[in-house]
Amino acid sequence: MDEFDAISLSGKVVIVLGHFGCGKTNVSVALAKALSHYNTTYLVDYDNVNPYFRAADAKEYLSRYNVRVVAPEFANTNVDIPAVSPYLNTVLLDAANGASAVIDVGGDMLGAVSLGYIHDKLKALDPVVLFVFSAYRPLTETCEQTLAVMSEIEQACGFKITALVNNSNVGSLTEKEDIESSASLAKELCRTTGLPLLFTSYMTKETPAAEGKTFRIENTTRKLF
Amino acid sequence: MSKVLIKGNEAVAEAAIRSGCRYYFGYPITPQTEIAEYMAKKMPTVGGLCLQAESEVAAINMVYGAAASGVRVMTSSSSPGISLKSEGVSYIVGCDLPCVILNVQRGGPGLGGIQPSQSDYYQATKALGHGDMQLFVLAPSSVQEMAQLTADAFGIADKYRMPVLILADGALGQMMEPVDFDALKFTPEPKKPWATNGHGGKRKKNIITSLFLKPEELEANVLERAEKYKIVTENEIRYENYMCDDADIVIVSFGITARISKAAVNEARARGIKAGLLRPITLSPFPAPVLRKLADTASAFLSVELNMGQMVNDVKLAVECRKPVSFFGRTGGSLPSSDDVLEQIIKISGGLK
Repeated sequence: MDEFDAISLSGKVVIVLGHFGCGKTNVSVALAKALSHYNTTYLVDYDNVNPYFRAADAKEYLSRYNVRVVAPEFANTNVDIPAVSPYLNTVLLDAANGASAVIDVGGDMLGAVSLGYIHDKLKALDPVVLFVFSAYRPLTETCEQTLAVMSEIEQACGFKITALVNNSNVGSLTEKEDIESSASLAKELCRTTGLPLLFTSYMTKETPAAEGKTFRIENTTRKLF
Repeated sequence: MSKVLIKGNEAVAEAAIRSGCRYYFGYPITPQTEIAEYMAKKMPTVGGLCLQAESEVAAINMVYGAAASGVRVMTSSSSPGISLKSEGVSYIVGCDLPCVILNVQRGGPGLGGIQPSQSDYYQATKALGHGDMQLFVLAPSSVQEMAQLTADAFGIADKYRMPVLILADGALGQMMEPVDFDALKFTPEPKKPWATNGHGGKRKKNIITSLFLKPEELEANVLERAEKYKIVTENEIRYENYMCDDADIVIVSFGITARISKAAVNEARARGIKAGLLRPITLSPFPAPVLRKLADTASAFLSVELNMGQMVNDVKLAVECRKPVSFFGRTGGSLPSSDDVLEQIIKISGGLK
């Protein structure tokens, strides 16, 4: 058991997909921060579904690590309409020249479908396609339910998932044991899909025991009060 | 599904399904669309129906029809959409039908904004529709309570044959908290002999209508309903009393602002100021008798809301001018911090000395 080193993703485009509320944004922010140690890094807020909590919220936090956050022009305003940043092409051009880019996509197939807009350009960059899951989210608690969501997302965005991320948590009340007991779902998903588990992410004080790598992430979700 | 991390909106949807609600009619609007999302995914798996209506007006009238046929049914929307539903709500009241309506409030007036607000307090408690009418209004303060009050709402609606409105806000709808669904308590659905679900030639036909052409008949109908409201007020007031019994300053606050106010009460207590929080869980019926009694012991009241001061007037009516009642709030989508509320408490307590 050891800590995941983001160097394996350096210089790549990483697409982060998953069910609503599984923690895609916290995982994306942590990956962007880790990648920033190696190379020019972008975090693209590509959530066109739910404007309440989004990667753009972590802009200030990530600026400390020189991560370039590219978000819809009107993110976090009252005209937060579904839109794509005009600077997206800059990211894709830079990524073609070796920069790292994490693309935080909106939840479920509804969020994934908008990837179609840049599908061909992304495909040419041979992206790593991550599927984040949490065993404590309704509608993805069992292997069967999770597989259904994965298949819907793959169909909607036209990309095959290349690796899994276990981000099972119950928010601030998460105990190390909660993460450890999600290992059975992770194992079953890996076995059924034949996909590797990239890491098990955690925010708990103690590192949970997990098969494969663990990855410490932070909660950068916007505090409402 | 004992321990899950869930959004307030999803928690309402799951609790409704577990309460036996098999019909959901709605129209999308931020920040409550996750309810329809969840219903669309889950209802077909339990033999239920989730239907996206062509408008809010259509959705509430579908609720009207479903409720008349005697099934547990709900709709949800956010502020502007709730305004559109108001005519239908009045018809449902006029027919004494049970249903559950959820308002995940956003900023107004008009299109307003998508961030949290409590500026529909007047609309919910005074006039969500024309006529001599009241709704039963519940105000949850956590995601767990979003789920429990949804379960309670179906029971109350059936018991009194009246619509129950759950008044939440964008923060409660969108934020994720752990919820224990196994801890929820449900009220079994009673028999509904009044429902228009086909008499099969075996009983007299049931008629459900809000139209009374003779004034005396309408008056009798309204008087009967007023009696019901009296019984509801006598039996169903709910509140949380947090350190009010020895409090000099009683904060009155509901929903998400009650949580901020509770933190401020704790900070005030740590500074030696005797503060307390009275959190109405039912906004209608309003816990006026409780506040009236607290006016015997407290020196001042402070209403904290996400609006320009609406519930504060109910607090004033309850306190009957015996103690000063002040107001503090933010609006437009901004939330006060506990420090902001504490500052108000300190200001009032300074004025007491």
